[in-house]
Amino acid sequence: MRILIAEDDPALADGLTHALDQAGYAVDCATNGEQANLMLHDAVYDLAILDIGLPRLDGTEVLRRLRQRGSKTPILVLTARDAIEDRVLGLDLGADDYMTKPFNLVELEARVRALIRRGQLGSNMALMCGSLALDTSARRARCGELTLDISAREIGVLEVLMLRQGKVVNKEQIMEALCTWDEGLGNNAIEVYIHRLRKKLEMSGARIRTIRGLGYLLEEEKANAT
Amino acid sequence: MRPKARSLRRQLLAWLLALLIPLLLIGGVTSYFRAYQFANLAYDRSLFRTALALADQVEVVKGKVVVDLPQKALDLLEYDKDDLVYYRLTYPQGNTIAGDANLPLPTVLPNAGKYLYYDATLGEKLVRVVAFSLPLMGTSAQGTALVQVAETKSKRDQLASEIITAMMLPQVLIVLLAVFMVHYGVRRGLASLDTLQHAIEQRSHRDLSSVPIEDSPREVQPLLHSMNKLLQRLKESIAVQQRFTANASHQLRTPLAGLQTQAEMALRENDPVRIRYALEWIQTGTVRLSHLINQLLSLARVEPASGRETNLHTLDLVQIARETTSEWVSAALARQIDLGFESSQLQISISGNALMLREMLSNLLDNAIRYTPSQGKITVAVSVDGKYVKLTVEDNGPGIPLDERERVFERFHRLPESTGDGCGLGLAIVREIALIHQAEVAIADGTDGRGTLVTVRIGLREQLNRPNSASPA
Repeated sequence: MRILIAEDDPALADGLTHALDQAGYAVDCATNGEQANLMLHDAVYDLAILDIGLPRLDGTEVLRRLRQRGSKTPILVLTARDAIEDRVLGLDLGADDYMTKPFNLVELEARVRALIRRGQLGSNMALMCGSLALDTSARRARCGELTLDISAREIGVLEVLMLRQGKVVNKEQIMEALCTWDEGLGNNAIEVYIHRLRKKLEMSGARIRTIRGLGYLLEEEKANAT
Repeated sequence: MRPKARSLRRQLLAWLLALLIPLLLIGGVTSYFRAYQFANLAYDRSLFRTALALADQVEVVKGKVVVDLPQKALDLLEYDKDDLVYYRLTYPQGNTIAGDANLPLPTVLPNAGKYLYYDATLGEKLVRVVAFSLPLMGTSAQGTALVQVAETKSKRDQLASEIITAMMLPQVLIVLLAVFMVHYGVRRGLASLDTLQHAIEQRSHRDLSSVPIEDSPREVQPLLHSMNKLLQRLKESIAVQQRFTANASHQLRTPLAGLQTQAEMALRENDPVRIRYALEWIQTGTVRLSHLINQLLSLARVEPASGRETNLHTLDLVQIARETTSEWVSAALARQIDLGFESSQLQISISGNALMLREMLSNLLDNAIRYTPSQGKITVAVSVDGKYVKLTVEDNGPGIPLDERERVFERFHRLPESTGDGCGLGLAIVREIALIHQAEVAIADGTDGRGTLVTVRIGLREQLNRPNSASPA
């Protein structure tokens, strides 16, 4: 996995490089917009972390040129400005996610993992949660070496939950994902699917939580969690 | 905008003159008539005496009326230092015996022995005439002879004009005096304002003490009162601002000092365990500092003094509350807190700013999660209560003591026994955002007197709100 970091603040660039290097990624670093633009042009990256306020060439401009070339490299935008317009502009130009400085390193690492996973979704990458793996193209779920006996609709529900791992997924979102199978799916039907999935995932290290009034959330079961 | 400010002086004058000038005109016209009446009264008598004197000279000789007027008598008769005197003796009717035949006869003849006065024209002159019917009974003649004496009006005109002058002069003087008094009075009345203006002009912009109002006219005092109230509010708000700046600099410098000390300590140390310990402190300090800076910035953004226009749109509070609560689920789960959401409606329309409302709820949730112990429970609820929407955040944490429930909204105020690492700005931000939405924020006990229930009451936008038909998950 190759990551480009385009950040002009040396302390931040150094910290990020070390952290991602430790996490096992190959990291390149650009300290200005022109350099970042050239590097993104010459090499293929699995992810680029792009500061908006880059010298010489603004981060949004680097992003615009990258998308103009048709590149689909996932981009995580960093910004010190929290004006909402900046975020909207970044996302409009094709950024995949943004973070406001200062940020928590753990959260950045989580988003990097998610973006890389999403970037490789098309290339038969399995979604993972604990020892649970979901092959989205073969539509099969495995727990370690054991293939789980899960129906197509349950796979659909599981896919939505796994794609938004750690985040709340509401019933409307689940219904949308299932509407290819069922017209006018009832609330109860979803509860039934969730109930069945919970049983089948019991030993997988993945757990579906019910969030009162909001929906469901899939998370990795912590060893010490009750 | 008015093209020109109205002048108080000009307005007063206009009103005064509108009243006085018609009065003056009416006075003038009546004076004129009265003056002539008096002038006639004064001179008609002597004119009549002249007529009587002339009548004395009339004799009847053999049925014929004759008048014997020696030249001297004529001179005397016709002598007057101001006016020309004319006479005419007629008998019988229309037959002039002596005098000026052009002197017009009265339209109605007076009865015998009677007389009357009237105005007439002789040649080009205006004259005053007395006509006296002289009875000829007891003589050889019959009926009456008409004796007329006329005089031009110079004397009368002069007297009349003297009277008019005497009557009108004070009136004109009064008007002039009134104009002057208004002019002077207004200037005098406003003179204290000039002094005030100078006093205010020479003030420093830091001097926000009250303007003295005792010396000002009573009419201006309410204005000055309001101005003083405004100055007072300004003074208070500046004081709040200054306190805030002082607090903020303290709150910013303290963690920085901690960071610096720990970093210096870490550089001096060789023991990896101690270095790690210092680094952990640095990390905690940095997190707190960046939280504080974020809170300061969002407070600055929502403050009215930021000068930003706040655009309020029609929006769905249920959606905003649901989405914002969802964002905080992971934070709550990380602390093993059960965070949930309830809504009586599927949709509730209010007029507001989505970003600010999210910020408000985020602050309430941040507080609730910070101060609710592990295994606790937090519930966000949206419901319609009459004309209001209630957004509530309830937790079963330690709660806020009664006497602290107003003070917690003050900036940098933290509960005395606070254990969380908040910076004391969250509820201040909540209150500012509530103010922008004309909403009320209140803190009460949670269910069964445990925990905290924060209620934000926002005015409902008059629109159809769909009841929640679907059961909550």
